[in-house]
Amino acid sequence: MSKILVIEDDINIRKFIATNLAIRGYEVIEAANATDGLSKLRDASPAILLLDIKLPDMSGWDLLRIMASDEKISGIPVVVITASAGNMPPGPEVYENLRRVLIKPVSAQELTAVVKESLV
Amino acid sequence: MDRKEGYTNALRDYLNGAGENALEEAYMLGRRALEQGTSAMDMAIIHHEALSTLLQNAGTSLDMDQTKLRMAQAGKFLAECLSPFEMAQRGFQETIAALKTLNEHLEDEVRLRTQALSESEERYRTLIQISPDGITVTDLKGQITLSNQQAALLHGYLDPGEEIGIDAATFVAQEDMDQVRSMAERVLETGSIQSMEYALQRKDGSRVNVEARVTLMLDAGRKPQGFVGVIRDITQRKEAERKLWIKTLQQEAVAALGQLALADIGLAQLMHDLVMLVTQTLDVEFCELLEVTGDGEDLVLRDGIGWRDGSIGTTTVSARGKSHAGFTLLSANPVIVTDLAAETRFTPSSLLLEHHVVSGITVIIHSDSQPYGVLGAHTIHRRDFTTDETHFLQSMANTLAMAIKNRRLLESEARRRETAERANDERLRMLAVVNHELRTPLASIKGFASTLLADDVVWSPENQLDFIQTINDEADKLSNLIEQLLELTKIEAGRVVITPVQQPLSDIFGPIMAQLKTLTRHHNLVSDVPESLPPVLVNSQRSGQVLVNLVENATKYAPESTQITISACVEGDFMRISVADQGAGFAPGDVQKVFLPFYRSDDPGAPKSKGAGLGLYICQKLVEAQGGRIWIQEHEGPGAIVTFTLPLATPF
Repeated sequence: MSKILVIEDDINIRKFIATNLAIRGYEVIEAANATDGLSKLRDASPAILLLDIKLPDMSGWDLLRIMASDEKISGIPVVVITASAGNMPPGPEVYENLRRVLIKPVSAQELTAVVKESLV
Repeated sequence: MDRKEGYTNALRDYLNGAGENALEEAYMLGRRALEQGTSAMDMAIIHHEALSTLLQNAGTSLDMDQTKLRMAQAGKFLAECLSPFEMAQRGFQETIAALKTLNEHLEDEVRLRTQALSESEERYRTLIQISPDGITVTDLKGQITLSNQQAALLHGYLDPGEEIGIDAATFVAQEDMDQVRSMAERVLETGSIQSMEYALQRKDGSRVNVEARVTLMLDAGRKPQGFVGVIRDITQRKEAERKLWIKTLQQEAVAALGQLALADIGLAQLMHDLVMLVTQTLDVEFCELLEVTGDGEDLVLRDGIGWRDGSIGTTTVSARGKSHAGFTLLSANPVIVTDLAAETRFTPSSLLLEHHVVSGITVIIHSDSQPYGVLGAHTIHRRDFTTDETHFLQSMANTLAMAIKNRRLLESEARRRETAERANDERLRMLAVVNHELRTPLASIKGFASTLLADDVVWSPENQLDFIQTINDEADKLSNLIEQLLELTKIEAGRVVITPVQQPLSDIFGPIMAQLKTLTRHHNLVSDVPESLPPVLVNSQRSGQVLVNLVENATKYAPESTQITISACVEGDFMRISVADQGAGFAPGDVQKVFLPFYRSDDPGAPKSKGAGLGLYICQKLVEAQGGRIWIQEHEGPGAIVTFTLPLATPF
């Protein structure tokens, strides 16, 4: 089954995402900050990345820029899940494989549906 | 009437000075007339008529004595000429009587005429003498034939008689000579009245500005005899004109500065234009624009003209009456100095002394409350500065003061606008942050609630309990956050009225002790607050709120069973209260930032944030509203110390 990396600093939101994906058969890898997330991206080569934007060490948009410039990981599809509703995302011009931007709160149903569709 | 005409003509020639031949001619004609039958009486009448006509025609000739003499001669001749016939015909006595009557009549006529002329001449002489202008009559060559007292005085003589015969050209300054000569030629050619202004040069070489009106002097035959000149001293008029001109220049300078003050140029440029205008307009070598320094002790040369290089921006003079400018500040009035060396009101500054300044004026540049500085104009030549010049300098200073005031208003307006814009930006940023902070706990609540509701999976009872517990925690977090936001909104909107009251510290601690004990039920709360401390001037409820918040923070971050200490002491005019814990403390880079709303540390070593991120921000607002301040105290050893101050009721 597909490997999914979740980068999210809020422990409860991370638990919500991981629990829902794990029970549905995905292999979930977790990271609480961008630095850890980047290294896990490179090591584990996940099938999809679920990314929060407001992270303690850098913004999710900066992480996407780093991914775009790194051939090894620039192909990984990304779904952004953020609470910053007013902060309009830079979009695909930053990262070609940005599939969706979800604004928190997100239901378990929405989450699983988006992950499923993004993996196709 | 050939006889009569011939006789009359001969007599006229004689009277006009033709000599004895003319008299002989008249004798011949007279004799012939008598021989041909004209009576002696008729002859006498002809004679009388001829003389009368001649007398009428004598006109304005002043030489009446000569005429009279010639008439008498003519009368005597007639008597001699007629006598043989008369004696024969009428008798000697009768003839003599007739002649005598005739002669007397003639003499009366001549006397009246002479008297009239003399009176007329006297009238003119009087008019000439009382004229306020100088009047000089010259012959055609320019030699003075008559002058009144005024003309003599203008030429440098006491007595008009002294300058008779002198060439009038000697009283014209060399540079104006050509112009005066060509004017005289025009007068002679056209017979018109000409006038011009020129520099009159007196006998002693000194000069005076005059205006002259010159015309021709004609004789009875309307032939030019010479010139009449009316000379007027226009020194006063010239001086008035000069003063008016200077005043005009001054007004122009003030107007020019006013225009510049309105223009969009910097204050420095305006000041420089000002000193240039002052230097030019007052015709001085030095101009100074001094600004009072921050401490009010000195005046610094902000701009100027004439001072040696490097003076501007660096040179200072005393603002305490120990300089011309300083004395101006003290006296609050313009100060005029005619001779700096003789000055007793103040000690001249080295700036003025080094530049050998002798005379000068200084005025205050007024500002809103206290003077901005002093404007001065100085010269190395001794000079009596006038009131007009002082007024001019003050006008310039006032215009500058107005410009300074306007620019300060503009600056403060710009600052105010900038502050408002920053506040607006901050509000927008806060709104975005608040939005994010509200959505984060909501994300967990919605996430786990929807998870529990999912129908495609089955959760274990342990999982379900965990999810519900998380929802509950996050709901509390959200509620707490909303409460703090409301509190913050009230504080920022000024809806929280913080009325300070004089009270002992126990009024703050008393009401919150139970709450503090509950909060610290898993910790060891120590209160190090001496009872002898003086009262504070605060709002006890708000101060208590701060304390509760700080203690609550300590319980969140310090391990259970560790000590949390509240201490208080007096420091200066303030009560200093600290809350110390034995937790992880703050990362060094965070001690300033933790007071920012929703601040989350970037430091990986910093303890995980457990609050909404508004507690310290609200504490700071409440403490500052009571006149105190709050900060993270640096210290040796582990744990965090948050300290705040409150004003004492009676400052020490």
